[in-house]
Amino acid sequence: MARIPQFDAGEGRLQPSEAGSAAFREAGAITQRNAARVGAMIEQTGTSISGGLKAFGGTLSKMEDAAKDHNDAMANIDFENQLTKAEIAAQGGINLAAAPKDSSGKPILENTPARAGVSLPDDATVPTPGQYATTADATLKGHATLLDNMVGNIGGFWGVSQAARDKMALRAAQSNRQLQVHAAAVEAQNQFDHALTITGETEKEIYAGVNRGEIPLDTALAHIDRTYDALSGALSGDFAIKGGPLIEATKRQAHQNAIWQAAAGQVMKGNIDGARAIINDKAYDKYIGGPEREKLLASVNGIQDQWLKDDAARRTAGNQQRSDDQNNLTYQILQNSKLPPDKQDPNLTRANMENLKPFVGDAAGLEKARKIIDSEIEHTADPLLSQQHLAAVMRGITDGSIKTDAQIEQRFRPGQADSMSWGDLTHAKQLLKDANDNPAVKEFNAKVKEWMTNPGNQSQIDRKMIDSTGNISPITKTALGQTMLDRWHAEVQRRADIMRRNGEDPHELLDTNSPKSMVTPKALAPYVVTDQMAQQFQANQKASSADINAQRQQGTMPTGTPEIPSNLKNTKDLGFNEQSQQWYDPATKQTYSVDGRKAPMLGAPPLTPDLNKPVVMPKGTTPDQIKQQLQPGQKFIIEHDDGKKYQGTVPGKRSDAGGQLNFAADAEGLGNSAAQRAISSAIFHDDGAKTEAASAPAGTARAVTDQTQRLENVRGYGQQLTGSIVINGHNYHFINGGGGRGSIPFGSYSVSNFRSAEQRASQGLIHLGDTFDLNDVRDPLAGGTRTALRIHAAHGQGTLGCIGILGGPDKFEQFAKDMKAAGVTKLVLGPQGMQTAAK
Amino acid sequence: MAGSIGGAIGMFGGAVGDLFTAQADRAIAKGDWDAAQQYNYAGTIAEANKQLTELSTQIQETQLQRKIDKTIGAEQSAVGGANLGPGGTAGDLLRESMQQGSLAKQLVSTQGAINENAFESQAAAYRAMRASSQAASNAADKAAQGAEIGAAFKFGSGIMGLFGI
Repeated sequence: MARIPQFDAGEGRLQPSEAGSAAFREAGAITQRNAARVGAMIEQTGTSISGGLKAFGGTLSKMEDAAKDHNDAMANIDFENQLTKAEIAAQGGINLAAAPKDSSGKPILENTPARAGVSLPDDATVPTPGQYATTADATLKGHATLLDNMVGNIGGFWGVSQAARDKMALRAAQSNRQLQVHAAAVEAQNQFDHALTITGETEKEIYAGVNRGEIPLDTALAHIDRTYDALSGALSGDFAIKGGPLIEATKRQAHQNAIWQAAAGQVMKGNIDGARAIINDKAYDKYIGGPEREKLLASVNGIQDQWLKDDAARRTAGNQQRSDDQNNLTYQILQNSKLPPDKQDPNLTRANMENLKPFVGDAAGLEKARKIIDSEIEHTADPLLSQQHLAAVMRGITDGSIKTDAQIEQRFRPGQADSMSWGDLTHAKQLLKDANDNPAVKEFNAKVKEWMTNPGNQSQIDRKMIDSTGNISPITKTALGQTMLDRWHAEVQRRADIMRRNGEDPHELLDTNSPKSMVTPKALAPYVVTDQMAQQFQANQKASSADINAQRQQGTMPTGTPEIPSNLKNTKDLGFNEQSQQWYDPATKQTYSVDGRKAPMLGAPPLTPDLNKPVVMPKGTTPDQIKQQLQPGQKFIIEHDDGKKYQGTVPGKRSDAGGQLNFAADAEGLGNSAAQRAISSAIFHDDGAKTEAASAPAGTARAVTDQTQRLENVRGYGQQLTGSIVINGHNYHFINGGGGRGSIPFGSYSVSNFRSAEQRASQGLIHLGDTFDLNDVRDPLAGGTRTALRIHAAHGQGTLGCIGILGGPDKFEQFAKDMKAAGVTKLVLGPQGMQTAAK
Repeated sequence: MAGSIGGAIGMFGGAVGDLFTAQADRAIAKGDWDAAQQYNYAGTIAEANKQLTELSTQIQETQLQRKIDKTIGAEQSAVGGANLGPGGTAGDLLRESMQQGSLAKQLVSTQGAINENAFESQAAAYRAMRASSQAASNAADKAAQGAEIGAAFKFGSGIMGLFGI
């Protein structure tokens, strides 16, 4: 039997190996470690990139934060700006809703809670509390809607943060709340004003009754107590507490007003003592304290003083008017005497002078006027001596030693040969007036004075001032040198006057570089003292009055005034230059020697007005100044009171031998256009007003309108009126209307109750300065009664129906004086020729 | 309406970081998963080793039993041939051989059991390591998903921030 071979495994050879599992374990560990390393690297990469992005984002965020802050700030600024405007508009709307209105419907915006001590005009209307509530509610809602829109619009801008939008919304809410508080405050003010207005209307009735004596003062005071107590009772809440002191103060003022009205009633009756007795009555101590009583007494005393002053002024003005009338009449008689006998007015003669009104009862004035006429007709005044007087006066005006007409009149001795002529006297007075009234003339005169008082300049005319060594000594100045200096000065002033009319600067006369210079050796040559001139001067000095009279009787002009050479006798407008002793033909511009031979011109060329160069007359130029500057053919530019400028040419010719224009006739020649009427009005209408004033009854003033009709303006009210009022010879331009319910109807108005600004203020009235009262009037165009009409100062813009005197308070002060002096109690408003009018 | 570009870029940065973190987590998860596979293989081998050890022990026991049988058989033959009874010296020798054979067999069995236990423990350890790696892989995967979601949110926030939402 086969044997199975025995197989024995060696000891330890059947043990399994761990190598395989160990290898996988190691591989697993390595895989894990590698995965961890890769993961860490990936994460590190991510961390790095992420960190970079975050850093960049962080920086950008900071920039964005800054930009956002800026956007927010700008949006907030924009919002606050719009909010401020909206609040101002809304508060204005609230204030407007409660604002009282004047007679034209214009709101009186001072009447706000901030208003203190400003009373309402008599004709003001106050919105009712219901009207206010409706308007204020609409304003509040409108404001809230506007703010909502603002928050949405401004907050919606790109870049504006939510925080900023929230802030805007908060501010809008605050604004709405503040406006509501404001509306509540204004509502209280409105209620108070409304109650006060009703009270005020009652007050006015009381005052009027007291003033007219229809209501006893004690009754009126008790009535005022009851009225204000009722007013206090009508107020409630916090405003009643705060308004209490104001009502008490107003009540006290009302008491004082009533007392004043009672006193004023006595004043109006002329009973000054009665007025003082009322004010001093101890029974009224509880209404009037010491200072208040003193103030009312001072007002009464002031009225008394003003009466006295007005009386004196009336007398002075009357004397001045009489003197002016005498002068005008004297001039007319002189002109009349030069006409052919058959054309003379028999009333305007020397013999009939004593029957003419200005001379009746004034023997001295009559004698003086007759002497003037005699001297002018008989040429008793030596023209050369008169010119010397005039030259001396002009020098005195320039150097300031002559300041009054009286100083000039000392040289006017009618009937005497050494007198100043009447014409030169009038001319000298006008020069003095110009020097006093015109700052430019005053300034130029100072320059001329400076030149004339310089010894070096004087020696150019008077060589005697220069000694043999060439030194200049004022001591050696001669009388003839002074005379020639005066003549030079007179010519400078004459040329300066012409240059001013031509719109040129007269300072050129003192400029050696100007062709118009009067200080170059050539220009001064005619005035240089020569030996021949000195001899003639000495001869004239020795000549007696008898010699001069003898010369006159022989038919020759005294003191050697030359006869016109035969070849020049028919020369039109022939001139004679006394300084250069030359004749001058303006047509050919040729100069001639004293015996009529052609000769080169000595001295500066003649200077005549340039008619083609417009004379510029600024606003405020008086009619007298205008007349003085204009002559036929002269172009002019005039600034009217309405601020517009008009230009034109003076038509016509001189209508009389005296060289005066007949302005009334020439005015008609200006035509009928609106501009020409305005010029005509500016230049001439005072003549019409004067005529009207002269023919008006005593106590009546004429307000002569430039308009012949009162037409409707675009609003259907009376168009603005302009015109003049002449009182005591003074012309005042006025305006009426232009605002509110327009001008007032033509007609007759009572003038009363002048009150100074202080008086008005003491009565608690709105401040208008000094005023006169006019009566109320029914106005068909305005469809109602026009009330609270006054006469007061104006500045050119317009009035609400009052008569506005142009020129400001100073002009009105003079106007008021003239009104009082003339005792004006009635004013007739209307075009020229309307002496009576229906009220 | 204004958006914050800087904030959006910061958010994008965060999103990018998260994406990279997710990628890293996925790499780790994959590594862990691969390691689990390795450990699985190691465990399988350890299991096989245990069976092999069991088989080897049986073989060694069989071999030892056969040696014992052979040795005792030889002694029984020798005793019988010498007309030796089983008592006395020959019996003692036989008894000793049987005891020694039993002891050797017991040693082989015990050693085999020890080796089996060792391999079984090793296999259990590898299974535990595999489970652990798988768990780590799953966790890393979850983390990657979370990071991706976070990135998506951050990206979305950045877009929203850009338009000021």
